[in-house]
Amino acid sequence: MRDRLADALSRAKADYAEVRFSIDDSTSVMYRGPEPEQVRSARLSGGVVRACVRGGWGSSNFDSLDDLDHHVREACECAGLVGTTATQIADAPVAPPSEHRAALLRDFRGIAVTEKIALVAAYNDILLRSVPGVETSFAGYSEVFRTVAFASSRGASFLEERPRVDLFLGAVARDGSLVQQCFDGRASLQTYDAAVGLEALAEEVARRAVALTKAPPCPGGTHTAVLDNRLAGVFAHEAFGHMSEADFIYENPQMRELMVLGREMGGPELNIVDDGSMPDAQGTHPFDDEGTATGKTYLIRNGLLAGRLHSLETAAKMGEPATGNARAVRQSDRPLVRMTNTYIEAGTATVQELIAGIDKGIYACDALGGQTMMEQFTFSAGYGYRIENGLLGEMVRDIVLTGNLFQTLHAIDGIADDLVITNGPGGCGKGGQAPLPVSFGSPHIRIRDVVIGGR
Amino acid sequence: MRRPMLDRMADAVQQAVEEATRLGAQAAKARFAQTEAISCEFEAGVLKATTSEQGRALSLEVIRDGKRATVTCNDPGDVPALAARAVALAEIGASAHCSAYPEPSTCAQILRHCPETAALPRERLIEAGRAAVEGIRAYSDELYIGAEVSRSEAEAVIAHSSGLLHRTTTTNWNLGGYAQKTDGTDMLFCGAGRQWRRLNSFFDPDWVARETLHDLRLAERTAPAPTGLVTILAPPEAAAMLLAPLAMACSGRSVLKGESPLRDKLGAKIGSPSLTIIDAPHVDWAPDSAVMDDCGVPTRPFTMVDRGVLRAFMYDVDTAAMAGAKPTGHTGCGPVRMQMQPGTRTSAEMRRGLAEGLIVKNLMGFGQSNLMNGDIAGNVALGYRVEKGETVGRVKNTMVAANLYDLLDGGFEASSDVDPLRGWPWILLEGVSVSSGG
Ligand SMILES: [Zn+2]
Repeated sequence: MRDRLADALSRAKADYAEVRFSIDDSTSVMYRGPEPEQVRSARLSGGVVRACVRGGWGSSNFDSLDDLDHHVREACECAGLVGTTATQIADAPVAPPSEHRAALLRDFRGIAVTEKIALVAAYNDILLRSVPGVETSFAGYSEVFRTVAFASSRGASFLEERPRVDLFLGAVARDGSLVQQCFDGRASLQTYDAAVGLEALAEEVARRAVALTKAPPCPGGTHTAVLDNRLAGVFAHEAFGHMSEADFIYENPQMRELMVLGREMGGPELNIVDDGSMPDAQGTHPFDDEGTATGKTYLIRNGLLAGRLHSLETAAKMGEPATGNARAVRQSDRPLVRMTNTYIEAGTATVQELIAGIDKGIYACDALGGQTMMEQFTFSAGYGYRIENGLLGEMVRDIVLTGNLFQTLHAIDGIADDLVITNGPGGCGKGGQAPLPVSFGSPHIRIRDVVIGGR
Repeated sequence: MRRPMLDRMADAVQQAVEEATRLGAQAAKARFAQTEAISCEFEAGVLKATTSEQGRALSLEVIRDGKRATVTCNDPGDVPALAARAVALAEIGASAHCSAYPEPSTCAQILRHCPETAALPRERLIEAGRAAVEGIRAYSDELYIGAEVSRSEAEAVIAHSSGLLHRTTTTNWNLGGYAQKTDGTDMLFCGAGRQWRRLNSFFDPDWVARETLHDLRLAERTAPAPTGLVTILAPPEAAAMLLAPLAMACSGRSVLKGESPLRDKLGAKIGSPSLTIIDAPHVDWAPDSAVMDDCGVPTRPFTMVDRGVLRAFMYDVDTAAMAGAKPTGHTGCGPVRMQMQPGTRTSAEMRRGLAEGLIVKNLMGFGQSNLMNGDIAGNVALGYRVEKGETVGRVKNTMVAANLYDLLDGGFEASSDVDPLRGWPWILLEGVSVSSGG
């Protein structure tokens, strides 16, 4: 398949061209309440040709290789309508002709669908029955085995197998008219076993959903907050990570000024990293979707803006090294500048020390989601606790944190020593492309004066 | 369409249904759809990319001995293999609560395919995008401006084992633009977009520029957010978003599964007498209009909430069978095109009547809260303080939070003016909790 792509590209009339084609085999099972609600399987193929002529881009996407020559021509023609200047593509080393087969510790393809349904049914039973007060449940399993072939006019050529399994657990509890939910799960590119043995987690999800129905809403206002590993990881991703994606910056003079390397972003203890090459994480690949090797990029080092995430074009236009962060979600999506595995490095404090210094505050845990619009961010904790006189108090719900990135990074005044990388289901969204598999991580962190919405 | 496939695929979907039945399915339903689209994108005020898109999918749902499974592919060549996979998977499938699809019945006729939209050339899209960009640039050379314009054409055919065979062809265009204004660490985003099936005067780059410029000007001044319990005014797009929990709660499936907070409220008052929520699926040229659900049950004008009283839940075929209710033509138990009935005062009159309030144009992070419970929350991505009836400035770093059902039952009001495309009015909500970091 790789040769066929390279052959078609050889006829591209463009300064730069690439083609990516994937085949996905997927199966999913979902319980909602006592019954299996959905059992699906799909085999879908799709791809995209992208071309750059005089700095302008064109693309043509498709679901079959039958007409590949047409799509190469179409992409080049599209690009020809656009460009008026010069094509700038970073001169980064390309993926050499290579094949990267999945090395699954336990391959989900060898396991019967009946066994997967039984696994989900067992979790579902725990969700529904282990704790009184649970009204209904969600339990889902999904797997996809994607085979991607890629070639570019720069000589990159690879075939990569990208397996992924997701397990999703949710409980809905009710107390009178109050409905509360709790979700958790696991995802892995490594092994089916990541989805196995999660009985304790299922019980915890049920227990937390019921506990939330007894918890009062978090009071709105400005609080000192301690964020647990998962929520702090979402914070690093949402509030800061997206701002370091160079496609938001490279053609915007004011943004370039704002995000100038060396700018002081936070205290000297603050280090934020994106690493698409770390083992056992969900954003990990040998190459990105332009054939550039992935690697470790310091975004903030010792509190100073140290780097950013690039595609070949943004790297060339900003005169910075390509980082291997051009990634696409669906088979026919064009790659965008995206994060891989983003985390805050461990500090030196203990979690107890972070909490002990707070008279009145909030310990916010777990993440329901987050969103960012440049310097403004907002994200929601799954649950939390009041902090009073340095001690954890009652559980609270509906914790939505918001703020200005620049102020908030400076307001981080404690970083614990307990870095955890989270591999959960779901993913990142940008430009209509979601969910992109990413991991995020952090130690516990403390933030002064963060705005929490509430009633 | 570069390669129309509907005639061929009408045979293929029927063949898939027959093959599944022959292999032991009690019922089967097959759908094929193909889409083609072209688009252009402007970044940093210049044309950045043009694209061409094509996609196909063939899916088959099979019901067998009380179980159900769905199999999808995009290689329409191998129907027997698809049928065999579906029947095998159904053996261990999800619970099915009916063993046959409803007999086909007469559907409404609506207009959905516009030859002028289908024929929109790339050059026209580029021209429209450029006009939107230039219109926004008139405000200032310092703006970062983007725009996207596209048109698409789709064809689909569905068949099932109770005799349905239905074809549709649709078109759509999409025109939008935005501006980012950066001033130090202060950033403002605003923009406007529309989509419609018919090429008419709605396809108007000047409208995109006018709407964007309106916000750029209103946002020139900032103002402190009113805090505490505040009256908010939401324009049509934001109003539709804020009411999303109601659609979730009126899902027959959520009611049956016990998730819906409205599950025991049928016939009860859940909102003020000015609250009427309908589903209007038959509006000609509206992008989400539909004449039938995914099982061939005709859609119809439908009232969920009538003058504050909860009237009906929405049911798809499977959920209706489970609940002992009649299917209402709602795929996935969700609305086709939910709308709110307008009120008596104009949105301008509503604003002028406010001593103090907040206009919420866009919320960031909406959907992270417990929507099923009616909890709505978010950061005011774009909003304005209202003082003595006038819009006085943009608010920043501000969160809103409330329970939708409390708001609907309080001082709720809909405007008399509605958005011509969405059919939604402005809404006024009293008692929204607002907190601000200044
Ligand atoms: Zn993200």
